[in-house]
Amino acid sequence: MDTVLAGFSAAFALDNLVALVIGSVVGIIVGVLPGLGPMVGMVVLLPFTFQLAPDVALSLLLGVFCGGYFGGAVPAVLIRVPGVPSSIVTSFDGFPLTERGQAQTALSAALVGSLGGGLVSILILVVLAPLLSRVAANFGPPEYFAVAVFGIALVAVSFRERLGQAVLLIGLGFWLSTVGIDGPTLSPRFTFGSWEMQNGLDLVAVVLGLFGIGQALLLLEQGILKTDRLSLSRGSLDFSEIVRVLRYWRTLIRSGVVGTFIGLLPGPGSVLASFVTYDLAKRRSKHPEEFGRGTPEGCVAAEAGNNAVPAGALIPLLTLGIPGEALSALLLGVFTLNGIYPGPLLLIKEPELISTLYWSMLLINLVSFAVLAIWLRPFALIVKVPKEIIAVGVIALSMVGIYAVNTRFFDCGVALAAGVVGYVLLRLNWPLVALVMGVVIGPIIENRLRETLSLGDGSPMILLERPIIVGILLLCAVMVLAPLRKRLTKRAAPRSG
Amino acid sequence: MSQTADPDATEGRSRPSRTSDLVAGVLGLAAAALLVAAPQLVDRSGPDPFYKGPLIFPLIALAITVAGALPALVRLATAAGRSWFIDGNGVPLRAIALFALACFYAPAIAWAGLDAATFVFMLGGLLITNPRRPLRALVTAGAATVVLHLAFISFLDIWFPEPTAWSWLSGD
Repeated sequence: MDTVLAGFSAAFALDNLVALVIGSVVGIIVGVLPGLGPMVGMVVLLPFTFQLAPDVALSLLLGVFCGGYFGGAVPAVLIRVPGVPSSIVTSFDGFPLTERGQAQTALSAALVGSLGGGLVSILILVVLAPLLSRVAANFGPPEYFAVAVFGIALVAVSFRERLGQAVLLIGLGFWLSTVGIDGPTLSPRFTFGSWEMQNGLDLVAVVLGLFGIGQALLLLEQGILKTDRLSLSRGSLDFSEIVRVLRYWRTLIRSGVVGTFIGLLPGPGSVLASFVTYDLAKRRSKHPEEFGRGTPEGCVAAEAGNNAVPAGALIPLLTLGIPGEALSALLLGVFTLNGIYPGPLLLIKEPELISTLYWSMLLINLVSFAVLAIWLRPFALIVKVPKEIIAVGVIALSMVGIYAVNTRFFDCGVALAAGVVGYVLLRLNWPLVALVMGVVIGPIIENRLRETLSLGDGSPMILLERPIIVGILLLCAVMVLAPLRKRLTKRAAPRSG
Repeated sequence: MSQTADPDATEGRSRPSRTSDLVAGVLGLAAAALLVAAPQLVDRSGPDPFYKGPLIFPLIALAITVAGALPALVRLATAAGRSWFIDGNGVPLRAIALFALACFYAPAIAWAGLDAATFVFMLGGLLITNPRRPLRALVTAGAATVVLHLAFISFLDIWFPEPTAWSWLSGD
């Protein structure tokens, strides 16, 4: 109880409140702007977090994480352009409603869905995290190694249409994480004689380059938005519509639960969550024929599903120390840079921080909802900001931000190189998330692999001595090989036919 | 280089374009070269056995990279005549120009200081990307300079080196 109260008072401390409000507002802005998204918002704010207390820094970034999903629904409903990829599903019913002059209904449904999904997922996080943590407390290095491999295999499989590219990027990410002085042995690796490379490639520089600079350059080439159709009957959300939308409370809770559990799985969780919860709502609805033609229930389901993902993704991060996707991988970076190592002991060692995190998540959802509900029109008008200003501004902010982290101009060069790679891969539609996951999970896997091999005196057979690991590794093999087998069977079928 | 339609897409296929395969192939071949050269590029003089040493994980990482590139390399070698189509947006001249300008931004901070470098970068970047709005570019560059100064110098108190140009001008 003391921990809950301590977390409550820490969450309501002025600096934390300011951080989560700023984070939520930035999240909504980057969510509203098509082509950016919460990842860009988080990486741009990352340099600012180094001077903040860990709980305040996490509130700032979690604000962007959740606020982005709230904001993404606005352009999806008003102009059929999803602010974040998962909001595409919201546009299926949101835009037809807008075309019928019911934009307020659609936005109410989307925002209530987001808020409800967020709250349901926080409740599940609070209940599930200690349970999973208790299980994980019995894990040794081999089990951690197996779970990390399982996580990375799930990432690869979630891009099964681009499996080769995902595998390549994961490997590349692993390799990038090895550049510099190796911590345990103090041996230089791939430094090519450069003194500056000995510090390794800074995670912030790599991620800011890939997503900040790369995405900003890509934004310049994307088609101009048709913002002339932007129409809202009033400047704020109509609260009578909110009451109307609450009729779909069953859909809201179900979508929130499903979204949270999808968020647990590594990969493009929010997009999958939106599609699955939308489909589920359609199948369960008394009027499935209305889906796709403009029903508020569709908006509720899609938004509740995607906004449940952030809390869901926190569960494996907090309990196992393994991020579910790129956004929580960035949060892992903030944890470790502050000397906090997520894992089963985190809930025991830092109960106040965890309690603050839960309260902050709750507040972020409420703040994001309130901010958007009150200032709906100003936020909707953000889509009219010229993309040139956004692109040039994001690059300037990224470059100065990267320098600010270590006050090294070398990191700016790393970010520019990563920016080129990010731009090329984003334009080719490669799963860039896999690269970030590789960079972040690489050191975890390497350390656990060394510890595991040390336990077995160099023999990997130690992995096969533990049934749980054999099970996890078999599952990995099935996950990776099943799509390949399917593809080969498909190819063979026309020949035999 | 004006492309309007993807021949593969019009035939109902959804395979990666040859450009994508070429990028994968280049990355794969670079990884293969690093894999071969890794023992020379990693200091293995420590007393640790191989399984605890600094080389084992980079070898695994590079092998995974090469494995991921293999399907693309096979496609490149066997499926001649397939499309090089990407997205029909052509050569990204504005992105290239902006990137080139960004390459000078960090040296400019060292040479002229954050404020001057930011103003010039923002103004130049906005004029490159939209030359028809010079006044808007000027105002936006000024505003961005003030915002970055307030955020990084006034608020975060980040240390920036004394501009080289000032040293020159003051004769130090």
